[in-house]
Amino acid sequence: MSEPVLVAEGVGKSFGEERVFGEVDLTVESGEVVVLLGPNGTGKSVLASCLAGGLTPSDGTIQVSGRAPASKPGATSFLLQDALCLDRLTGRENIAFYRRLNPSFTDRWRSLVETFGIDSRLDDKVAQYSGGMCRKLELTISLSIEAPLYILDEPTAALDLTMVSELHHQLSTLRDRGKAVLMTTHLPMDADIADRIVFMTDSGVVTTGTPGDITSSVPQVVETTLQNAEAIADKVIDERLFRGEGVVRGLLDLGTDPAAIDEMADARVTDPSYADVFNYYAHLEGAGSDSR
Amino acid sequence: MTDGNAVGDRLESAARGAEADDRSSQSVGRSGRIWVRQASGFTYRTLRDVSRSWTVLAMAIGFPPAMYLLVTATRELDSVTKGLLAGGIAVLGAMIASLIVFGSQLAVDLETDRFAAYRSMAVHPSADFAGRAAAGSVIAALALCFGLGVGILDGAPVGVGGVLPVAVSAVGFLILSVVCMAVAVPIVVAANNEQYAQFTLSLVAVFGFMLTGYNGMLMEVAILDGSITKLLPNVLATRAMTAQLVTTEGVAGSGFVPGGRLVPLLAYGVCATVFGVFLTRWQLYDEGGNR
Repeated sequence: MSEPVLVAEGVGKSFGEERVFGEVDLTVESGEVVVLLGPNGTGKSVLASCLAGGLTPSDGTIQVSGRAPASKPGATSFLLQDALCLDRLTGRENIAFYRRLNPSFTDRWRSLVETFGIDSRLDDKVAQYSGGMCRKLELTISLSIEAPLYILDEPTAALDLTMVSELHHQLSTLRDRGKAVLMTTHLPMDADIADRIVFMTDSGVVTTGTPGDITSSVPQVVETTLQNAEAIADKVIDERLFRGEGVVRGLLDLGTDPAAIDEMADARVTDPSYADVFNYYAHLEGAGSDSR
Repeated sequence: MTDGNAVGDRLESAARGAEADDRSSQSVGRSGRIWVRQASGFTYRTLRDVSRSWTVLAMAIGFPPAMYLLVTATRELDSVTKGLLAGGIAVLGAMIASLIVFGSQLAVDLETDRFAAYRSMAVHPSADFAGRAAAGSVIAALALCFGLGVGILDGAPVGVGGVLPVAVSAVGFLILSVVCMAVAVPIVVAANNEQYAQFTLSLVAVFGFMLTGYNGMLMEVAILDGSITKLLPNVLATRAMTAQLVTTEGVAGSGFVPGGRLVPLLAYGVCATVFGVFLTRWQLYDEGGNR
């Protein structure tokens, strides 16, 4: 097993009297991609900022490569959501600024702007960029920094599906080069890239494990048509159904026999997807505490 | 242990010490290079930003000369007063430029929480302050020169008589610029919004100018008491500059004291630099991480 690059123990953060999260333990090893998954407003971005040294945690300890985070330049590359770029400057000028600021900035930005398709707009002001282009510019800046640890806060937000796949490829490349990556997201599809998933809700970290561990910790799923929703409502946990593409899905109640579902018209039992895992931990009462 | 071994150990120890010193000096050198690059980054970004901000340029470079021309067009002023007014208003331009060029981007960085990114990159707070201050000083110098240039074109007796007057004026100008920027830090932190910060910082410059009788140039219109006014940095700096740059011989006879008082001004400069770096570190980097 490789050495952990990031070690966080008992980390908590409060803003005045308001507790954002507490008692978070987390490690990320070299050559590992960890996806911090959870619904909006659970403190993922604040946790990411604490881990990168952008915010000071209220409790606990964090070490990056054996030292306090941000104790030396180039220890971490941190993608801060919607905050890196000054929109009155051009994309090229923003890159030039961070190039001066960070001694570990490399020339990789030249190929990244082509990969992300923003090379032809680099001389436009960032104020004229769409949300997706801003994110691509921020990704260009973050991924151009050579660091042992990459902390990316919602890197796929505002990206189209093609770019999400491209980003996943870029993160795989970092993993292959032995880099440690921690990314926050609320999109279940980002779990595709994960070596390990950490699920965070309002209650804190509710489960962590490999994608296989996480999906196997979730009950099977009942799926039916929208019109047939009422017929399966009492067969699923909390009687809670989630909309899919033209269907509704729910997590099978442990007291329900899957065979009984299979006998129903227009209903079937299937394995959980990452979206079901997300719904299970994010929205079903007691699910998080059961598996902690 | 034999003598030979002891000598060998001492040589090895000395070599290790020299290596450690070498590593230490390399580390200091690398750290210094990083500091310079970070400071130049802030200077570069601020200048790029300001060069496109017509409101900031108009306020800093255009407003004070317009004010000067308005006063000289509506009043009959003697040559000495005209020279002092040109100097005082040109310094007002430098003060506005120092405050709002430094403060505007600082406010935007605060508003967008960009300091979290700077902290994660281990940016040196002193490089941050120095870089922004350098950019502010460049624009402030432009504002000062433009203000004086308009005064010269209008017939004010302003000019450069040699290297020493330029050097004294430059020192006075730079110190005032740094004082303004150190003052801007807590104001920007309190405002936490670019528009509020710009408005407040402009008011600080204009009030400072008016309360001290056009930066100590026309004491009869000063609102503050003369014993206080003469100790304030904007007055000390403006007097240091105009004593060198106003060329008419009637300056001394007009009641204007040309004593530049560079020593208290230098003390202001040192205090402002320390205070500015301390505030940047404390308010924006250390304390900002706890917010």
